[in-house]
Amino acid sequence: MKKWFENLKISHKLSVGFAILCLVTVIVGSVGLINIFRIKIADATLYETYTKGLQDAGNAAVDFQQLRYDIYKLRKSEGSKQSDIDSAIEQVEESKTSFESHLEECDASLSTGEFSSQYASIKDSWSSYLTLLDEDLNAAKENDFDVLTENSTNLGDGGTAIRDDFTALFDGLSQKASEKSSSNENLAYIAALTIGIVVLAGIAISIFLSRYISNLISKPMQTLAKVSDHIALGDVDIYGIITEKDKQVKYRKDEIGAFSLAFNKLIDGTVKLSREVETIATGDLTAAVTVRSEKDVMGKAISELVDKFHALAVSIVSSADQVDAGARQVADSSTALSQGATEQASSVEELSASMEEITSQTTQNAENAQKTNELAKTIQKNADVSSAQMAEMLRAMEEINASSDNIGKIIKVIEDIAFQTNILALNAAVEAARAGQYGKGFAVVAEEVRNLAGQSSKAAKETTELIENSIQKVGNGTKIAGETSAALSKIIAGVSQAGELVSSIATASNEQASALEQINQGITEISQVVQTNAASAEECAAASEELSSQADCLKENVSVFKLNTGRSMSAKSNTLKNSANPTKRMNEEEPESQEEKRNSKVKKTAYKPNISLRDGDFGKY
Amino acid sequence: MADLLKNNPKSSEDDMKGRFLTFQIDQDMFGLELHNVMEIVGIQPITGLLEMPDYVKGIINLRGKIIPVMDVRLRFKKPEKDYTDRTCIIVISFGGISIGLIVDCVSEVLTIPDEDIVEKPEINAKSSRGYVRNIGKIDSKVVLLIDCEKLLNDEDLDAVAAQL
Repeated sequence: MKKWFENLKISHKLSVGFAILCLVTVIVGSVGLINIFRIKIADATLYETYTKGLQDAGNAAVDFQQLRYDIYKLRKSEGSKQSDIDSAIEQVEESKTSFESHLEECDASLSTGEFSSQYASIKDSWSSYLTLLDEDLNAAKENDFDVLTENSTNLGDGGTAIRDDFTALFDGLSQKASEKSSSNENLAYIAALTIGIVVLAGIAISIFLSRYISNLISKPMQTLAKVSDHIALGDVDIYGIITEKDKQVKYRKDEIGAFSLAFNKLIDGTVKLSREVETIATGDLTAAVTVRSEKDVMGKAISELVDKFHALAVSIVSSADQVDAGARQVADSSTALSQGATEQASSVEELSASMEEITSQTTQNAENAQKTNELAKTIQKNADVSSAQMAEMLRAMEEINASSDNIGKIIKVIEDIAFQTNILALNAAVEAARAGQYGKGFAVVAEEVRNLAGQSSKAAKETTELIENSIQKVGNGTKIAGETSAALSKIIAGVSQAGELVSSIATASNEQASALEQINQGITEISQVVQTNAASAEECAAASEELSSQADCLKENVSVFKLNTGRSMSAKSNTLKNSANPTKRMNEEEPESQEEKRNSKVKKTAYKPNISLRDGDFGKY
Repeated sequence: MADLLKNNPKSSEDDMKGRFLTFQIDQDMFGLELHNVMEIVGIQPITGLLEMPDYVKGIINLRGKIIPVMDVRLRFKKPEKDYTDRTCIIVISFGGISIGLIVDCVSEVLTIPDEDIVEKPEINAKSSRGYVRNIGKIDSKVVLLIDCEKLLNDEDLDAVAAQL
């Protein structure tokens, strides 16, 4: 019953409570009403039965008495005036009527009930009286007063009997009335008592009910409020506040139960999340963050945060490792560099020494080159002179040639003449042959002319030969002179080239010297730089050591966090990783108690169910 | 040449028989019978004629006489050479036709005795159109004696004569 009530909705509960109150009120009311009705009835009865009967009976009695009086008066009116008799009769009839009417009224109230017998007796008595009365009346109307006198005793008896009956009736009625009244009083008293009791009971019930319902509602709400207060402050240590009874609340099927269930889920979730975050805060980044649903903003956010932080930590670890490795490399390189620098320094020393030698050599070279340069200049000057002389010689030979040419031309003229003379001679010979005999002398002449021409020709030829010889010789000479000139030119060119080369050697040597100076400077600088390098390499090594140590420091710092890198940051995390199993985690429907029980560090999972394998798993194998 | 004439004065007095005017073309010496030779002149400006064979160079004006000239080199199908101042024109006359022969150079007048004149060896029937009648020997040299008739009396030359 209690369970069923508890499981009602609050509105229903309230309805039920108010209904009960209503019922109580109704009960109270109805009890009251019933009692009032009873009292009313009793009162009515009192009145109807008794009071009214009494009244009516009283009226009737009074009327009866009146009647009796009137009858008496009637009797006494004997002998008086008719009008008085008539009036007396009238009076009697009036009284009779009224008595009858009142009796009829009594009829109503007394014919039934406990006085009915008495009433019946009255009625009987009355009926017998009435007979007498009617006789009397009739007699009176007929002025037969004897009848009246005869009947007076009977009437009187009858009347007295009726009167006594009435009195008994009155007594009975009034007693009954008073009894009834007192019983009514009792009734009223009882009614009041009953009502009072019922009211009290009702009050008690309502108090109880109100207390019960309000407790039903407010106690859990108080607990919830208290727990909410704690949760609001972030205090997740709320399980002490919750009693067993409170725990049962959530099984109720009303709004409180639903709210309690939901709130339980909420606080469970919150507590769980807080605990998980607490765990994570201690450094265990492998702790699972339960994501309660698709819409669990905080859970998802924290999960993401932890993921990111985890990733960050992992990356920091890996970066630290890399930095470490890099630092070590740098250290090695620095050492190598340092060694190299030392070797460099010694090489530079040797180089310096060599440079000294080279410098002295170069200076010597420069001087020699200078001398050679001057010598070359001198030679060039001489060569120029001989070249000029050669040129003059060539000119002279040219002139010889020219004059030879002139001679040649003249010789040619002579030759032409010889030729023409020859032709002439031939013509002459021809004419002479034509002339035949007569031309013999002419033939002789022609012959002689021919001879002459031949001689001229020969002489010219010889001269030509000589000239040619001469020209040839001159040509030879020219050629030789040309060759010589060419040779001289070559010499000059060579010498000038040599001079140039030598001067360039000289300048080069000078430049070399200056360059060597610079090289020397450079070597000095190199030496310095090498020194610096060595120092820097040392510093570098030191710095890399520092870096390495910093990397170690970093790793140490990050080792506070337990990570899923497959490499154990701490033995604890490794064991845990190897022992837990990847499980599906959808936390929507699980009741709170199961969630509390499951408290191991399991692999962090995403919201969607996935079976994930970690590096650590393979460590077993 | 001179001593040859000295040695044979009689032959020079005699007639023109056996007397040849030699000229040279390249390495070959040719001889012309003296009685055909009119005169020898040096090279002169030649006025070209149209519609003539190519070896007929043209005409010259020799002291008022118009004489056609022929290049012997071309006639003998030798390559043409430029004319130098040694180039002569030998004016020959045969059968009333005067013609000038352009030759490279004129050597001399030679007297070749008959015993030194031999017939041309027959290689084939068509050689050099028979200009060379026979061959004369002088010392160790060979002189190709030209037949003027053959030289002149060619169908080509008839046209030349007709022109003139």
